[in-house]
Amino acid sequence: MKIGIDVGSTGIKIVFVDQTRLIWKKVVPTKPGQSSLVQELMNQGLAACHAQQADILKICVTGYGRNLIESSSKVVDEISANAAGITLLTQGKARTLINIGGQDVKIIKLDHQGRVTDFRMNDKCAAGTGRFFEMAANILDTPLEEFHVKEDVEAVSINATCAVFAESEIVSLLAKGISKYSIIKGINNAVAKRIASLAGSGHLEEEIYIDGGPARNSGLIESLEDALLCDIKTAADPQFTVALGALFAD
Amino acid sequence: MVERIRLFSQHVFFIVFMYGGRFGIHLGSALPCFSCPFVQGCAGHCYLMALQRTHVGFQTAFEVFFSSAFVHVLWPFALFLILFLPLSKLWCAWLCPFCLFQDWITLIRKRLHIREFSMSRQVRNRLKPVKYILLALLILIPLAIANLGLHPDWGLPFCQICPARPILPLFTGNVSNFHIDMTNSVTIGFTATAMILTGVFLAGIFFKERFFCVFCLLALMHLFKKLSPFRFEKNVHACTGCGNCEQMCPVDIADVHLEKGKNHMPGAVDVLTQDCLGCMNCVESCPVDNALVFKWFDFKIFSSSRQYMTRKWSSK
Amino acid sequence: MTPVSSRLDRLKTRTKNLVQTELETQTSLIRNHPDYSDSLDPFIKILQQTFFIEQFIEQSSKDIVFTPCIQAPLELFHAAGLQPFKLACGSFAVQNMAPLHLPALTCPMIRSISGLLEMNQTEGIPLVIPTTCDWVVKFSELAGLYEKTDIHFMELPHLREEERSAKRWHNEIQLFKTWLEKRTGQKIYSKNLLRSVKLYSRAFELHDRLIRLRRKQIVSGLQYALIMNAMPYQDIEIWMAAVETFVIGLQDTGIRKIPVFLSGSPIVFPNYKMLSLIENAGMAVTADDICTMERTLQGTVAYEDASEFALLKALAQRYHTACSCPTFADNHRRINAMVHTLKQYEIKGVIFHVLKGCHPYDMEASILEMRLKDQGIRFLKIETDYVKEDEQNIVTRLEAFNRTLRSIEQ
Repeated sequence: MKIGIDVGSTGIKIVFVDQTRLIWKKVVPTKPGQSSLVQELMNQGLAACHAQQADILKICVTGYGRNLIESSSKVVDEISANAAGITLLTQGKARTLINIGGQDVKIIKLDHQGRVTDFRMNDKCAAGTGRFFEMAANILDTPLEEFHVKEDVEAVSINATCAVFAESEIVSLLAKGISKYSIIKGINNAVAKRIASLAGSGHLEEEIYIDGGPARNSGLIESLEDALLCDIKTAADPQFTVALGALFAD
Repeated sequence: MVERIRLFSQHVFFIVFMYGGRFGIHLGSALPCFSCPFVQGCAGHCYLMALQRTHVGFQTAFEVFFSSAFVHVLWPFALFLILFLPLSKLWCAWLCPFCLFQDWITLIRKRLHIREFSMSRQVRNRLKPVKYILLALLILIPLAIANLGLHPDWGLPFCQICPARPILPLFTGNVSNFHIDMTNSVTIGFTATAMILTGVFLAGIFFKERFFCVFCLLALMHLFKKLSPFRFEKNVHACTGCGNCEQMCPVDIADVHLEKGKNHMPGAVDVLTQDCLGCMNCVESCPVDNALVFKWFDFKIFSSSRQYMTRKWSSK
Repeated sequence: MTPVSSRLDRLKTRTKNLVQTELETQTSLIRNHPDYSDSLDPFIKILQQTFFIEQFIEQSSKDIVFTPCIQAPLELFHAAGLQPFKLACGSFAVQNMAPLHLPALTCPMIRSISGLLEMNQTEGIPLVIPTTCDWVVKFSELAGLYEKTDIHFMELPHLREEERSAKRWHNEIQLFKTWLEKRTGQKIYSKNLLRSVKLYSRAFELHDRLIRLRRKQIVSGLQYALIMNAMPYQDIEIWMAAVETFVIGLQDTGIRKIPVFLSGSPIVFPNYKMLSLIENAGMAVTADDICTMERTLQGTVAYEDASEFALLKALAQRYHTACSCPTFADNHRRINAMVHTLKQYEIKGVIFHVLKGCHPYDMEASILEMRLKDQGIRFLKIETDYVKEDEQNIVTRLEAFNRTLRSIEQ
């Protein structure tokens, strides 16, 4: 049994894997004291799988807090981990991967062996990231899974260059009586545009996958498909690809 | 290094061309350099003279051009090509005695720390057609003598005004070419022009390195460069655009630096231009490995190197 | 009520202490580095002194002249008997002293420089400013230097390949010489200038040797940065002697990392964040085209003759056409030198460092990226600021970049 842990900026994701089969997974919000939090999660997992400490073959850690975990046997950067994870899940079919994390957005190009050939990552800024959606979901009082909007809804224009300003923008739109769904569509479009500009002029090779927490928002994926002019598939368990990949990155 | 070898070569050939005849060396009358026939005991004649003469050049009746006798005109030309092709521009900066004479004058100027006169790219471009006008005259005047009854004193028009004619014989102690021939108005005209031009060129050469080469008719041998195995190429994608080549070029060729607008072409581009004298100053001052290459067929004669360049200037 | 001046003094003292601490932390990091050798001490010492300009002037045998860019010929300073003082600053702490009216997106180096000038008593020290990027053009005005010092602008033509630009710049160099003469009250004779040119040619040869050692990873990126950063603050002969000593004492550790080429915004002591992060991620910066590193000494001056005219012309050309500063308009050849070095030394990746607010490099990044990727070269752009907080984000990218480079090697 192997354990993959992704200590992200907003959530800690943990997976228990037998060979290549996922047997247990869990995500908790990141809090100070990641190390003890991880230990607690591992204990929970061991209990759930009816396993002992001795059954653990290796523990691979990735994510922002990867160097804070002492019990790790391997530390991988999350870009390589992400690529390895998606390759495993798609049997090597993914050529491009869009990851929307808590604090960053990554576009990763990879080969059939899951090796990263090129990547782009936004600079430290919350606009267009998971944090942004979290904020929007809070204000709109709508879970991310319900961010899918019917096609005939007219989108409002939202400026997503700064997460802080977007927040007040949403509040004032609501005050003006604009429908929640128009705003949601506007948010999806704005974020999609931002991600598309991160991709730049470079051609994105098919097949394109998306993962990370916000990948649960199918409305965003639709907007993104329109912005990038291509089909995008969602990874199974989009939140856990990175933790899984940590175990399989070369 | 290369500069020294070149200077050595120039001096050796200066002695050979200027005095070789006294030791029985005769290299023919179709030499592609200013081995002046007016130097007594020279080892061969500049082809420009043959080109203007009767029988072997253009002072020939029209009928001959369409007869078997034309072979007499072709033969020296073929010889000229045979001599020119293997060495191409090396004839200029490595062999030509008049080039060395100019270099001596420049050396004096440099010793005196007197600045060089600048000539802009525009002026250089405007002067380019002068060579063609001279060539046209060099062909038309002899033709006119032979066919239209122009006075024979118009013969050898280029030699009559060439500054090498009075200057080079000085090295054999012959000052006789410094005079005005008072025979008739034509001779007065020619010799007076020659004296003026000699003065102008001496001053010009003093203030502008190889000033004469700007007008040199032999530089037109460039028209046959495609036949020669001698090549000068630039790997455009290596060039950083520092401009040392243009700066150090004695005749300020800009095309090596800017490659005549061919800079979007992949790989090596031919940068051997009409004015190039093959002195290789540009290669010596190029700081990029293999950006500039002189080749003979595919054999590299000399290519630029950062280490060579750095050494050369730090040991000065 | 506390008077304004004493509050200012307090800020000054506080900033000086902060800078002192920063310098101590950074130098101890450098000193504790496995490939540190004592022969680097002179470079660190002089770099530390540059933050306390009053003491620097006291110890300097020559009068100093500030200059923010590399286009004012070092040879001319030398021939005039003046000591150039490169206005390039990598201190995060000194930004505390920067004027508050600087725009929010100010280039951090300019902010730092403004702070440095504020923190020290610099009134009356002359300043030479080649008009390169907008920040350099405007900072003297923003920092309120007009009233305080003698500023000489050198108007840099932003075309490299036009003859008219060359002529204008040649004229600027002549004016600069006249300005220097006026400052010192002594004429710069061509004989003296020639001596300086030759001296710098020797310095360049030494630099070339250093670079070759660096390409072989015998000299590390960090060591090289220290040496080059320290150059424009001291007498060139002293610098050369120190470099000679350093080179003689070198030992090959035999460790070979993945080589990368670093390009982009200036990297200045003590801000070696990028260099050490790259190194920690398992890569070695074996080449760069940064104006505070390899471009500090960019080439030998080739002159036609020793007349003043020719020497100034050669200098003008060396400090203009030979420079690949991103502020030039016809800068398409910039990439050539890069690709040439990349191919020659089998470097597969370029890391492009952009300081937030450094627009010229930001603009060059996307152009370079396209052209480099066409050549099969991996490219990573990292935008950062004079802050430490983004290190984790950068490390992630550098580690992933290292993996992509290793995967092509396999």
